[in-house]
Amino acid sequence: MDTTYMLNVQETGQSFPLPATIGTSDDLIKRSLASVIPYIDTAKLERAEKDGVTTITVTKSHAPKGAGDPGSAFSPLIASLIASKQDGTNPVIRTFLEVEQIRDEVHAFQPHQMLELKKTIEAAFRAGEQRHEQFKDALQLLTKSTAQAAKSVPAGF
Amino acid sequence: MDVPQRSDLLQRAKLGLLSLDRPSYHLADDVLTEVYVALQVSTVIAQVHPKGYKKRIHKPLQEFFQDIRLPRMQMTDNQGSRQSVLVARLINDHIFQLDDFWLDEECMDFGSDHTLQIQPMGYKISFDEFDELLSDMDNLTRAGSFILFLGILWGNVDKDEQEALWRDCNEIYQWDIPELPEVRGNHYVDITRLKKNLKKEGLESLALMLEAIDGSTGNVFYDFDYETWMPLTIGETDLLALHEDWQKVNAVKKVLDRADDLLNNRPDVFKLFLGAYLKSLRSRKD
Repeated sequence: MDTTYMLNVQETGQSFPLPATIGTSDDLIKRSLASVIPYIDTAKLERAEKDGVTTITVTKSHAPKGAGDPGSAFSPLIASLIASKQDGTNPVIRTFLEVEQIRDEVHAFQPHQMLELKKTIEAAFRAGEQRHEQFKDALQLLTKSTAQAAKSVPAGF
Repeated sequence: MDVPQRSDLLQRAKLGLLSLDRPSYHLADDVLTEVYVALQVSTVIAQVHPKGYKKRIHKPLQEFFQDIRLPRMQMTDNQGSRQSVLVARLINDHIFQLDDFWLDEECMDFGSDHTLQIQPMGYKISFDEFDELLSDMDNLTRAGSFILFLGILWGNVDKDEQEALWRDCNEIYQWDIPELPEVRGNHYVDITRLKKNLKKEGLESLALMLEAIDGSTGNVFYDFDYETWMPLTIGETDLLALHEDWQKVNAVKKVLDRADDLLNNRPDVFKLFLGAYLKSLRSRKD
């Protein structure tokens, strides 16, 4: 006996049948119904079988935007960014802010302190230029990439 | 909380808030470059004036750091960065002289350009300037005619015009050498020998005058040529080398003033110089 598939949208209380070609796979359901149920990509899908009928209940998930899917390929990247000790500021900008903090003291510096500050700035230029180039490359790469439609609209939109 | 504590707290709060307002990479890069240059210039001043450097840099540096957040370029008066103006003044007042034009009318911008505009001392002339002198012969002093004298000897005048020009100059400036002398080709002036030969006549200062006109004194302030030299930059090595030459400028100037005096006042000076010059020529094959 063939299984019948029913979709139950918990938020609205609606139920409707699904073709077997779609109902067998959660992934196919999500892709097919993305335009009908905007939040389905992040929603929870639960299956229950009774008398040859598989009911798939869709429950809206309140995961945060973007990083909510723990299975996302971006998750490790996002986790490492959160764990990073650096704040992502370009070394040139960071050194500028540091110099700004001591701007009332520099005029009274001893020559060796000036040389020390010069060295810090030199290092910032080296690291900052490298970072700036990487940033420009990344931006260029992103700008040149072909646009791709998201599988789902993030929750909240 | 007393007044100083309150003021300190306000200052800290202000700085804290400023750090939230992050500058763009380009603004930070330009400002930091100027700060780097200011530190470079200050450390060179400390090297060349070890005793009084604090007094020299204290106020300008204080002023320099006062407004590093403000837009760098001034939109009125002198176009340029106010911080670079302060750095240029520091160089001019304590290391060596800069070109007046770049100090007073057009400002250097060390945030984006590290070129130094020095004040050449004005003896060396280009071919174009030589032509200008030829068209303004009536206003030349006898000493000034020494440039024409050498120019003709060095072949800077067309061959068919050389003899006539020589005769005219001889008459106007009283060189007392009526005919254009014959100068052997493929020869060069042995400057050491020329100095010796001139010394015998008490004219050794003329050798330095010749070098100044040729641009080969060894002192950058006399030899620098904006058309043919690589630009001078604000690196520590250049600043120190320029300061060293600047300290010798007065000594060179004294000798050149002596030469100027001789060329203007001693009747036989051109004749004696020519004799010494011809005796100092060396074949390039030697």
